[in-house]
Amino acid sequence: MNDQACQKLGRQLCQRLTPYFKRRVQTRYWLVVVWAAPDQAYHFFFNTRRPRAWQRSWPLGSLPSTSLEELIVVLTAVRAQYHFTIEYRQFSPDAQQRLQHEVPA
Amino acid sequence: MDYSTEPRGIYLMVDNKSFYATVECVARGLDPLTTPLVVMSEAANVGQGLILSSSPAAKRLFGLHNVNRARDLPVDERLLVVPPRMNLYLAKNLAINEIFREFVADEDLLPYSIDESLLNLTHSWRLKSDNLLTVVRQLQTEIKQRLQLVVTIGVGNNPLQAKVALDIYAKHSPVGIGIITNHTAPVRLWAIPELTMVWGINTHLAQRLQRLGLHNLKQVAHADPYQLKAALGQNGARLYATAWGVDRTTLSRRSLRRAQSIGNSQVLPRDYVKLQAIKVVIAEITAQVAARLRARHKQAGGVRLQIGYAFGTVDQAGRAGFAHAQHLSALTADERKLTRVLQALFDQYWTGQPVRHVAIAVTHLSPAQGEQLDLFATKAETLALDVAQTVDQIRQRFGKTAIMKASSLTTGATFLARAQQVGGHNGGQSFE
Repeated sequence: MNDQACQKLGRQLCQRLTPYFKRRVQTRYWLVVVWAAPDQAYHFFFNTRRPRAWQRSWPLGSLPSTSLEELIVVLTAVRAQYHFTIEYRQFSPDAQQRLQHEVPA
Repeated sequence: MDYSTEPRGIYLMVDNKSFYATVECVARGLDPLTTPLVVMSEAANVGQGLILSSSPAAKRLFGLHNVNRARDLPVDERLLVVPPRMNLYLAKNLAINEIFREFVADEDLLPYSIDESLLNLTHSWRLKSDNLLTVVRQLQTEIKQRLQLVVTIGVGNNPLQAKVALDIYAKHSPVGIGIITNHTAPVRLWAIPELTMVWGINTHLAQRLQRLGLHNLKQVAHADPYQLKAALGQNGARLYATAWGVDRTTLSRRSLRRAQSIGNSQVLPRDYVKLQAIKVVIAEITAQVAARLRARHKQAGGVRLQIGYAFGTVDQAGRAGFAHAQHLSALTADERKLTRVLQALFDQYWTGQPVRHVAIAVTHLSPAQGEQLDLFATKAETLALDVAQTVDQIRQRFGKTAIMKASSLTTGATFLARAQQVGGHNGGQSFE
């Protein structure tokens, strides 16, 4: 997948999370990226947590890829619009370190 | 009871533990045994929200079970609530069945529901090991390693024993395996305390049995089978066999069902009171049923309409809805004819109550090639089936909403909203 396609996916992610980002006070919003080995894909979720309420987790989509470079381009495109915390799950320590360094804060 | 003449196969009934919730936990990189997650449908037709599945941790911590309502969920920050993704669950079900195919031939596999499958290992288990229990554990391990899903397995000499072993014993076993054989069937079946815990016995049937003085399977097993059949019909004979753990089904020889039908139903997003709006819904569901009829190359000889009123509403006879069937004058797969008959049935029996549930079925199915020619049919009627088949092809190629009736844009129509769903719930989304 080329960079343009990855950037497009990043913009799609932003479009999909926008309805759930309601900018409520006392609410934590964050993005979860999971490396799913059985599916050989990255899964994206948008999570919210606020006091005296259930946590919510909205599925945004999946990227069938094993390339960390492609994931970095996608997340960089998300970062261009939103600056949520990104939580990485099921990544190796090396991959996680690289993501934290290369995806802009 | 002499079991020597009864089949002695090796059947496995495999169930995915808290299937939807476990799939969602795994997709999020979470452990379903420690994460209190619930899958909740918030589609318009389920009111505030319907819990479709709860993870083992949610069940343990909050005493939840499936088919709870949102109002039953405690407001607790530890609970993770997620929407359903029916397409994902279908894909996982297919992946699991692919693993099953490594253990059995196609004709020995019967997917029973989205999270249960029946396997006949009689002829193939020795290909994997000399020990049956090793094969059963291998199946569990393969699914756990490849898909990270947990399955519980009931083992029996026939499908009935496997299903009851699953429901009663495997789900409560620490290793997730329950076994009933011809040898142990009486002991293990008669120990079940409640009749309603047994597969195939609902509350209504249990009450009928109780009126006959039968309160558990041991009493059913020692009842007179002829009296049981006289009191309950075929169900009585089936129950007598169930009580002894006898089932002579052969998976590879699927039985021909005498009364086959195709049906769809909808719980409406609100109470419908306007005749026109209800008729639009009837037309939409009929179109759906007719499309399935055509896809199977069948035509119908009858229709059945079932209407459920709004919550708490009853008619003059004190009923919460009505159900009526009608024979058709000629076999047909034409949705316009079917719609006309069903709408006429509705006109005939509806007396103005608000409607919340509509179910439609076509019955007395026959192969489409033996179509009865109608000398009096107009050319337009003859062409209608061709048009419908063309619409089917367009939808198959370009999607359900590529072509639709203008009435689906009117108030009360549900076609567009339902097209985005799978089984009445959110289908989910992905970039693929």
